[in-house]
Amino acid sequence: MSTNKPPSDLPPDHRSISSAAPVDRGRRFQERIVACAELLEASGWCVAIHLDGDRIWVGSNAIQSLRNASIFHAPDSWREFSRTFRQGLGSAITVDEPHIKIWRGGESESPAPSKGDLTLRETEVFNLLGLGKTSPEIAIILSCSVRTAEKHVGNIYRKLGVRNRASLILEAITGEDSP
Amino acid sequence: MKPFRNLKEAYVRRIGREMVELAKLNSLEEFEEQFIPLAARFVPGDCLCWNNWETDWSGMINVRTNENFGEWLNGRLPLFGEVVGRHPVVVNGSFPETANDVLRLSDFPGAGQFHRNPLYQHIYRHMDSRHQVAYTPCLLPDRRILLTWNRRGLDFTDEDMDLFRLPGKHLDLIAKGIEERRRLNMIWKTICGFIEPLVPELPLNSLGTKDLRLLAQLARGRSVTSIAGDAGLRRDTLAKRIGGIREALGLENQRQLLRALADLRAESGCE
Repeated sequence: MSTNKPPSDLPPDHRSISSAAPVDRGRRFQERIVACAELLEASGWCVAIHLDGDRIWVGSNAIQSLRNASIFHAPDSWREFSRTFRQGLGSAITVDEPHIKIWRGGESESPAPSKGDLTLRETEVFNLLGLGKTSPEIAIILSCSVRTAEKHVGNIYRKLGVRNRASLILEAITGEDSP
Repeated sequence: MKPFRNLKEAYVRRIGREMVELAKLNSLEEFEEQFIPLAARFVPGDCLCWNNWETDWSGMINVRTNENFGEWLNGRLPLFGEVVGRHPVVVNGSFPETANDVLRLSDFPGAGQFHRNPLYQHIYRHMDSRHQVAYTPCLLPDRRILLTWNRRGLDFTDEDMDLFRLPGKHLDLIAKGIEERRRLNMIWKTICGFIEPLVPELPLNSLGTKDLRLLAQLARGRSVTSIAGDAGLRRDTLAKRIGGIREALGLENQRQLLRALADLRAESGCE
């Protein structure tokens, strides 16, 4: 997942004279930032962050994307990474700040399941689900009963091979853009 | 690095206790302002200077002192630079050594001559710096922090120099902590500023580490049940937490939340 090196300890001289409080605060902030980067990675973005010193965090999409561009040789330092990462990524780079890089990878690690052959009515329901509508709302829009709407939803579940509303909606939305 | 062998344990602890309060400050400017009077209480001297230097020692950025010794210097920095150029420690090429240890002016040849230099008369007497020690405890990406203590009466003893090293050590640790938090804050703001225009429904500023990790799992299309199973939590517990996240984001129902996550994914163009 990441190329974390173990955190370097404070010099003994420092340890003896100061409380660890400010250091802990920094660590917790780092964790929050990494959690945010993980959300971006889970959404298909590529993220690399300069944690501190020579510790860097590179998400799995990012590693894959750098490998594809043949520029990832397990960088030893953030400085080295910053120098090499632009090669081959070009216009895909969306954020290029001194301590964080975000870019489009172009490939998802978990390909979405295929839409299969939905009926016309099911496709309508499917699109409404993508807009965030609930079953009762769909029933009103399509002028049918709630039970009918739920039946359509159930059939879509079966045909797409998904098991819950979350993956269904993700499918409905992300599937729209594909040809 | 030498231990603080000349200092009493209780004294070292007292300085530590008071200094650790400063570690809570959020900017170097505040720290500078509060460090000087505090350190001046602990070390016997007349004028304590906090100098911000260029990282390559090429010049001084600015200076701050206790009791406004430095006010006279305002607008006179170029002249001051010229005097510093003739400072025995600088002339001897020992300036960078102040990064490792406290240096004493009187240990350098030419100290007496320096005092007779008209430029010194003009500048340094305003800071009561007949006797001086210098220490550069801290190197940050944009500056070096150099401390000098000046005294008009007695020269500094070896014990004094040991004493001066201690606040310097604290300064280094605290300044680096503040600088690091500022850097992390910039990274955080960059991420939030990146997501917000793409998906205004995800103002992540209100979310903590656990919330963000949970959203990441949902964004991967995992069901609440399977996430709960992995985390060893009851499904209801997790559903409630997701409800909390949804409210923190100001969304009405979970579908809107999933929709927002899907928008973030769609923007990445990864399908």
